[in-house]
Amino acid sequence: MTDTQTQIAELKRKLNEELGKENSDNGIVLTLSHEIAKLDSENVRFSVDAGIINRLGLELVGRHETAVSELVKNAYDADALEVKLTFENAWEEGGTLTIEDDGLGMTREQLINGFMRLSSADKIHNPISTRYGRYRAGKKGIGRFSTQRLGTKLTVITQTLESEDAISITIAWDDFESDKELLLISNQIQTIPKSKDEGTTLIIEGLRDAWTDAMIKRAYRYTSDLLQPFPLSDKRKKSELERVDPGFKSKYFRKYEGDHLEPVIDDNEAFFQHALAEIEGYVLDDGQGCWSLKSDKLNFPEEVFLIGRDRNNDKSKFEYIRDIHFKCYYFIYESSLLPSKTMSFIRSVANESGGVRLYRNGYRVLPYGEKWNDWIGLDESVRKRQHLFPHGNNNFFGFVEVSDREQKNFNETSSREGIIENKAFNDLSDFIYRSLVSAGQKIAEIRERKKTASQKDWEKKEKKAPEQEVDEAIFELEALVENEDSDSDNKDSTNSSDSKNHIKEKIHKLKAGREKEKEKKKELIEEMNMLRILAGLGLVIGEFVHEIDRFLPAFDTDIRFLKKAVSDLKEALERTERLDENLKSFSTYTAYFYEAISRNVLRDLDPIELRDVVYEFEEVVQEDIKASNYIFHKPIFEDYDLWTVPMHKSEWASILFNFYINSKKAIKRAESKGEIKIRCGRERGYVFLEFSDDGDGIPVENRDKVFNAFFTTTSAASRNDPESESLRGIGLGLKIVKDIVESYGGEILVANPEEGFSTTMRIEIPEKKELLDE
Amino acid sequence: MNKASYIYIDDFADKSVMAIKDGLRDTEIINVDFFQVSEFKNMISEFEGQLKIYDGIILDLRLDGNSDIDVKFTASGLAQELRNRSAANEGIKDVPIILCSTDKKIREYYNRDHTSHDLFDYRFVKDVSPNWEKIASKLQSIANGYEELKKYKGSLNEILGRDIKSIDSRVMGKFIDTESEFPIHEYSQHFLKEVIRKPGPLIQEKLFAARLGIDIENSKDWSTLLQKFFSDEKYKGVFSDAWKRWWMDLIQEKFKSLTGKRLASLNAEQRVQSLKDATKLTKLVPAKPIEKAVSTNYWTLCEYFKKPLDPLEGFKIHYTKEPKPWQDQMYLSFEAASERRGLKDGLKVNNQEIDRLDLMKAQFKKS
Repeated sequence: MTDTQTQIAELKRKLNEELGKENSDNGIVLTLSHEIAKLDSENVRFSVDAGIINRLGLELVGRHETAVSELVKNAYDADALEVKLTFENAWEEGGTLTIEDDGLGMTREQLINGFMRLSSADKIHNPISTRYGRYRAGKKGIGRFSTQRLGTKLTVITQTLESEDAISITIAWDDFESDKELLLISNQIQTIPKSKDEGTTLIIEGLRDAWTDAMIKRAYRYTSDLLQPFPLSDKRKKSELERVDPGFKSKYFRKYEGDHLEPVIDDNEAFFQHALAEIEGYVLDDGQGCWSLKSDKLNFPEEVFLIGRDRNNDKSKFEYIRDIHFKCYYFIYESSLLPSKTMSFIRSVANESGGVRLYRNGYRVLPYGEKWNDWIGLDESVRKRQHLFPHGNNNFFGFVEVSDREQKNFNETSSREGIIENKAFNDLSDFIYRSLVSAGQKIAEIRERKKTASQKDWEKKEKKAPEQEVDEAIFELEALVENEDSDSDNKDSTNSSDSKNHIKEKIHKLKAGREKEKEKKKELIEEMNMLRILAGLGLVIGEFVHEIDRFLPAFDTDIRFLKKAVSDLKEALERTERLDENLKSFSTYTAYFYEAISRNVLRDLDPIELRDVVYEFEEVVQEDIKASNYIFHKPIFEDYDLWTVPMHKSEWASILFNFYINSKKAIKRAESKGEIKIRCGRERGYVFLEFSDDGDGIPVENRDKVFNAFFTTTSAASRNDPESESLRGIGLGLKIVKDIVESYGGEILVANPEEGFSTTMRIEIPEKKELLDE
Repeated sequence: MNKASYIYIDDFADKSVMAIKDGLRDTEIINVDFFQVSEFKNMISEFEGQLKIYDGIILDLRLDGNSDIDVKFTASGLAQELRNRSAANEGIKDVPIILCSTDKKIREYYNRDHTSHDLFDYRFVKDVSPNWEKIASKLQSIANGYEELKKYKGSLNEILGRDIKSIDSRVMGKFIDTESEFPIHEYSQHFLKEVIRKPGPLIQEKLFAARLGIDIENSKDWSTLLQKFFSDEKYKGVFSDAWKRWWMDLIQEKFKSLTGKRLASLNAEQRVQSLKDATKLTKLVPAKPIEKAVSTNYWTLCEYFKKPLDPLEGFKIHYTKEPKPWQDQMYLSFEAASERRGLKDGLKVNNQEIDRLDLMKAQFKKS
């Protein structure tokens, strides 16, 4: 017998022995048969190294925010109505993330053949979800790798409607190290009691990244194509038979001690709190219609208005509709009303899924409120320019519900694609259209009044500052209430003292708010003053740089002359050569600033290729890099044609210089080698630039703060320092960069540092849109 | 000719301007005297007298920048008047006119108006550290050239240092017609700008090396090769004292006679090997392709990297003026074009090549 044959015989013996046991260990059986297969001299087989799991995870899922968004998409694909994400101890690495959905859950077979089987074909075979027919959003097979990307340990608990128990699997990703057979790593599976009807819970422990609020919000926004920020009717039902999608929501929380949950981002945070107004309406049992309007932003308290079927008579009754309720959030996309980033985000979601959805007896009816469906006639009205204020479908997120128990008035068409457009239906859409338009009109009126009112203030400004007027009014109001208090010999004293206390409370609140406002204003003025100083300085520098230019060749001529003249004097020659070198570094800076400033005079905006600004920047700092003994890595461009939306080129000079200066400080503090790296690419309609250094890093708790005005790591300049010194390190640099980036609808953040670096600043700017005929 | 003397005219007369004059003077190659600009009429009559002594004029581009003096014209306006008058034999000697300015002004004003470009024989940039020696020797050579052109006006053979019949007749174009007479500055424009400074029948050293497949920087025997084996092929005509050029057709013949092979049909390794075998010079190294390029059938240079390139792998540059049929095309390598290098210096890919460039970018993205 050859060696191999002996080995095989021995292995077979052991295998038989194991199989013969009452409780044979599958792990040993697998290992032994695997060994035997490997010794097969006739056939060979592929084997898989366990390290592949980690490699795939890292290669398929780049950023941790993307990983979370993929998991949310999976919940959507599982027909969940709601997915709840809870971050626990996640300010630092090592925290826990729980993702809980109320979707269909997985059976044991689905778990084993789907989730635990690499490259399974389920999403390819079934592109549409089973219950609500959703187009599946998750990428094929990314989910499990996302969990691997996010943390070191995963627990999956899942249950289906039909199952009697829940199943739980625990996977420790660290077990999947290289040089092990993938097949041979086992993961524990358990049956546990059900905690709810259906749904899947992922518990990801040992988070690999620290999570700031900004990162969590970003993950939320990455799922924007799934977001349906509609207020949900209380009467909403999971429709088992109807198969009409009631909608999908994701909510993100942080968990603090004592299981206290603090919302980080959800529909309300991301959308509703930014609405200009809430519009609600009813048709009562007697056919009387009414609508109400409320706007915190415009300081308009809720007010109810009547609306009749007959346009000229508010009290006329609707004939065919009863018991109707609608609620809409109203958005106007103007930069004076919304922060620009929020605005572009909300608008992009609204363009996809804005409008008013229809629910009948708690079930959603399609296609009302879907994209392109204009059942209320809002878009048509906008096209016809019947009203000039914005009132298209994308200005609203809302729903209307009709209760129609006897199914008298609203009958679905036989094809079940909507409702028969009878008189009741026409009344309904007319009621909503007119309510929304009246509300829009009212809003326009309030805004106009504000505008003219503030103009009047402006005219009599010499007399009294508006702040003063407000303060006086508060004072007078307070006195008024106090006075009434003293001569209160009222009949109905309990009632009136109640309301008086109420008023006092409000006045107190007003005063407190007023104080806060003053504080905030002071800060803003401070910031503005500083910006004015900097702007003035900028102009002076521009002038200075322009003048300097003329003298540069002159320096050179005389240095050359000197060099020749002192060529025999060693020290004098060395000094002259040094003078020459220093002057050359000096002049690269002046050249750069001249470019930046002269370009700024032309106020034109142009799309910018990141290569152009990065290479230009590299050229300018080259001398400084050399002098400081830094290592400037070759810039990496992950893609070609990285064009931004139109911007000022000089703004990139500001951005890159700010980053560079901050890096220099950080490197100095850390006394590190001084490595700097720029990496650019494109992602989801944005181009990005990452600027990394190996300085002392930014502590997680400061990551969101560094962009605030006057946040600085430089200690304050001493009173005796010259002014130029006191202008450095005032903490406006990143604030200005942030303002620039956000003014283009972009984003700036402190990303988790690239490997080998301690800080990575990341900028995302919307990509230039190609013209169709280009 | 002895040391040439130039008049330098600028609107400012402060010490920064004097340094320009001194920079050129310190080279001891040419002599420069400074005059501040004044009224147009004065300037013309001034030139009538001064040009009896001086051999050329250097003009600052923006003569109207100094608000202390009332001057409303720029270098182009003045140069045009001088050219007109000398062509009409109205008392102004036909001399080289040189333009100087800062890089920014050249980009802002000069580059935007092409109509003035053929007024000047040469231009240099007043930047941080001008290469005064180089500039001065060019100016000296141009002044020499004007003298020679005057002397040999009728004989192109003398001017080119070669039998005119042996080269493409289009190269000399209208000047072959001996009947008509052209002002000297027209000859100068044509020779300097079309024949010498653009690749074609005459090529410069880097392109020469590229066509022989040689990596100049790492080939210690390169200069020996030039001196010992290619000295007859060197251009010896007008302006050759400051512009080193070689006749391409003669190089090809020489290569054939040295190695017995046709230059264009070999790749760099074969060209260098054949040369080594034929000349017994051992320190010649074939040039490596630019990043992302593979072919070594070099015939041109990447205008950004100034390194050898196979035109098939290159992208034609965008011209403000298309090359003439007898001139060579100029190219950018894929690396330079895709990374958008050289855009600042006006090196753009020709519109006709954009689609091909995009296609290649897509390919590189995939891999």
